This record gives sequence, C-alpha cells and structure tokens, in this order.
Amino acid sequence: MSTKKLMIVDDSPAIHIIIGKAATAGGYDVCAHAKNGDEAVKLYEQTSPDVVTMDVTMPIKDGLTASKEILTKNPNAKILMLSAMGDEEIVTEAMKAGITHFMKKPFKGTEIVDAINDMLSE
Amino acid sequence: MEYIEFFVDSVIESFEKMFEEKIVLEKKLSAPACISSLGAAVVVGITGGKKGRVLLDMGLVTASKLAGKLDEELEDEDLSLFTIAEFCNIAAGGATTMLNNKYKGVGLRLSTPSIFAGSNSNIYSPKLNEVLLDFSTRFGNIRFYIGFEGEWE
Repeated sequence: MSTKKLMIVDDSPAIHIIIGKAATAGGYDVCAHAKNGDEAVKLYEQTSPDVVTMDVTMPIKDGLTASKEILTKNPNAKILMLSAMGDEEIVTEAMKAGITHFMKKPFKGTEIVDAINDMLSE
Repeated sequence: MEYIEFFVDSVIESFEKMFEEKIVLEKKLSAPACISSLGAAVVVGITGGKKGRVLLDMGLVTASKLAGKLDEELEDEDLSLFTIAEFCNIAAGGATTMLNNKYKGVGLRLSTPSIFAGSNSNIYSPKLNEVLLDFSTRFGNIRFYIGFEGEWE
C-alpha cells in the first residue's frame, strides 16, 4: 500500500508539530503545511494530498471558506475539520460546506491519526 | 449559571485534557482596568451578538514548561508562545460554545489570537467589565481576564 499524503492547515506552528509528528509516526507523508486558508487552497492543487486537517479560525482565509473552495474543485476531497468551537451552528455550517468529519480541540496527535485512518478506510 | 462559570469549566477541562496536568482555581475577582503582564500574554477577541475579550497571562517560564509537556520541541520561546495561544483559543472556544448553546442566536465567534511577550507590559481595557480568574498549576500560576461589553441577561 502506498504512503498516504497529509496536508496540515493551521495558523499555530504548535499544531503543525503535534499533528506532523503523530502522522509521520502513523505512517503518513506530511506533504504540505499551510498557515491559512489561502495557502491551503494553493498547496492542495500543487500537492494533491489524500487527506487534509483544517483549522477553522485562521487569518486571511478561514478554514470553512478554504474547504468550500477545495471541495468545489474536488468533491471527493477528504477534510478533517478541527475547531476549538463545536456549537451546532458551526457544525451545521461545516456540513453545508460538504465537510463530513469534524473534531473538537483539544486533541492528542494519536486521536487525529485514528480519525484520519477511519476517514481513509471509509 | 453565570457566564463566567462556563469559562472556569472550559479552562479546567481544556487544560487537563491538553496538558494532562491538574489546575486549580484559586481566586475569582473583579479585574483592574490596567493589567501588568507576567511576561507572556495572549488576547483572543470575541465577536458576534456580544463583544468581549479573553486575555491569558503567565510567566515565560511557565509557558515554556507547559509547552514542553506537549513536545520538547515546543519549549523554544516562540513556539511556547504559540502553544499557550492555542490553549487560550481552545479554552475560549469551549466556553463560547457553551454560551452559544445556552443563548441561542448570540452567535459568538473568536478572532485569531494575538501574542505579546516581554516584561513591564501594561494592558488596559477601560470599556470591559472584566473578571480575573487566577489558577494555580505546578508550573506556576496562570491568569485569565475575561470581559464583555454590557451585562449578560
């Protein structure tokens, strides 16, 4: 089985390190790091990751807007939305954008890897 | 339940889950209009139906030790500041989620965190009715200053 590619999108370098180390240990190739939604859309096109972890609140372009743009270009894109907020409104908004996987912060790196494994086995 | 209790619960839950450490609320007071920072401060703005602000303040050593609990690489000063900013964002996010679920339609949202570091910094917030939550941890005290414009019904 080929190594799956992961793109991490978050404005916090700490989150990149935590997810990156767990993902690498879990057998993933972290092919791209984006610190805002604008970078995420560009890097998605350039690197074609198998799965994306996407923060919601980011400068320049938020995660919901970036996810909508990615899903418009690739409706099969697999995006795991990560947010410090988990109220009904934000989850509904994410689902309307086509996002089917959502995880509330805080999380352990291993929990993210488990969630990604589940997404890719669906 | 007073709005501030949502923040107390969220800080404790977020801290214990994120750092796997105990945290105890020592004091809950009205905050002064001028705050002297302990060295590392993070501000997260709250927008939506009510405007407010969450300020997290702690010493630089405390920030570094906490970040190091997650990963040794994060003990670096810049990365430790980003780590406590993420903690502030998560704690504020948990509390605003609870407030959004209780007060339907208030639609609170968070701004991206701003980080300040350095000694002898004073932070003023004349328009907000702020509460100081002073927590103790084994790495040093951490303080949350939480304020909104106006009163909660």
